[in-house]
Amino acid sequence: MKCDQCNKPAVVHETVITAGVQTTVHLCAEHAMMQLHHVPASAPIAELLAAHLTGSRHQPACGGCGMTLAEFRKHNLAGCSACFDALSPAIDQAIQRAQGGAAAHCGRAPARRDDAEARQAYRARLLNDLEQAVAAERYEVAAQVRNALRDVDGIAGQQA
Amino acid sequence: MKPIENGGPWLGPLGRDADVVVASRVRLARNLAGFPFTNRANTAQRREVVSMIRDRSQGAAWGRMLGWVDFQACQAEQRTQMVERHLVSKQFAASDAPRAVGVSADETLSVMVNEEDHLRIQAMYSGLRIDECFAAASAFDRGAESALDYAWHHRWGYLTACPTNVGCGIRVSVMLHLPALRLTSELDRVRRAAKELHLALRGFHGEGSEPMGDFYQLSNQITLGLRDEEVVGELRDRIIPQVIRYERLARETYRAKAPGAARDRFIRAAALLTHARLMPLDEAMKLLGRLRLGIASGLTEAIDSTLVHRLLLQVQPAHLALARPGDPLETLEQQSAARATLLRDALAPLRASIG
Repeated sequence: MKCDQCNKPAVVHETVITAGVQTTVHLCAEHAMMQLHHVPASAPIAELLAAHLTGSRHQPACGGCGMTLAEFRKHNLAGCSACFDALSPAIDQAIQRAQGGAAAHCGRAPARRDDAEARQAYRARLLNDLEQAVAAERYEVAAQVRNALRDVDGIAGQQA
Repeated sequence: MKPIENGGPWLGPLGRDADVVVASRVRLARNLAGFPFTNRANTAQRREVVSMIRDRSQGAAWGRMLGWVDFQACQAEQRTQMVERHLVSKQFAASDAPRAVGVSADETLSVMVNEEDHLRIQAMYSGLRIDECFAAASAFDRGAESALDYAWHHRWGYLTACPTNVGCGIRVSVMLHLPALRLTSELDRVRRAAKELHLALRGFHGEGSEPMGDFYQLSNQITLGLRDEEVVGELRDRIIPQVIRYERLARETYRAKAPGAARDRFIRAAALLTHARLMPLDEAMKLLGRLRLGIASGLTEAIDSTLVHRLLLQVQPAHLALARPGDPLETLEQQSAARATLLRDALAPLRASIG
């Protein structure tokens, strides 16, 4: 992913919702700093972003436990299962950063928990992720997504 | 808590590759659906999580082997003793919220309830025995899964409070003794290589602890996009054997370069441990580490590594204090004196052999 303002690799990805329209900004370290020039340059980048986000925009909060994005970023801890959808996509990025870019779980799933509808929605999302990963030539991610797809289909196969 | 002689998985018979590997551990992080994670749960919810997990495991074949300890009712020294024995984490021992730990009689399996996640299932064995650890932790996990509803997400797998654990929630860690790599200044290279492979190299007590006596824990950092068998296999077949080879090579190089120095370091450590009247903890750990290297190098047959492993635990502050009821070790000097006495007594056969 390249910076929106130059050709350098983007390191900051921010999704902004203004009047119901979602846009994603990709910036390199330099341009991200330029946008945040009013904050001391010595502050760590996470704090810079937190200050920037809390200062200027509405914070989504988790309906399950009330956790806001700023709280999540402060402690790097989710508050409940619902946070993983409520705080998306910011939490997705945090997970992928912590996990060396990995895109999805693969492998064992609890036998007791299966929900056909959620699985279909997830499958559709994975197909979309796969397409994007291939288009971006991120083959390692694509391979992971493909494994996750096989897992989903495997669960469905077992139940059929 | 039982006396130390009875338990402790890494006090048992030495496992495979014991010249370098002290112990192996596998930890699984799980949460219950329908409850906020520990950091967001109130006291009543935390109590409910404790009793739900304890009650369901006590009545079932998969969980009956655990004896439960209510941590709130535990005295400070007992808490610390469990940290020293690697049964609970430092963070777990420091908290005052409702929480409990289930421990099997041989201490190979321990289950923390209300640590950062509702369940932290860990299994530990001496030597390089990652498979046995994984099997033991998985057996409990599968049992628990049949009786409890785990928090689960179609994309992120097993949900955990911290993004670093989501997916399969597995942390494989191997406790290594790497004195020669440090002596030959190769440890930084290992550390850099580990980082590139998304592994962490930490001190004796894991996260946030200092290396003592050249003991380190090497563990995986990635839990997403990999099956737990892949995480286990990667460390077991590729990474740990490589580190073992490096350490053995460094030991040979060091011995070949300075055979007199290797022997001298061992004799000096033995002499101090068998004669000193005051022994601070960090010095004891350092000297015990040198003793262990000497044993692995065949410099003595008077004692073996299992004794060193037991002493590594017995010299820790809470173990020292609990071994001497009615004799409060109020100052650091009293503690050092008690430690020195313990070491002199335990290592008497060594004193005779170094003459």
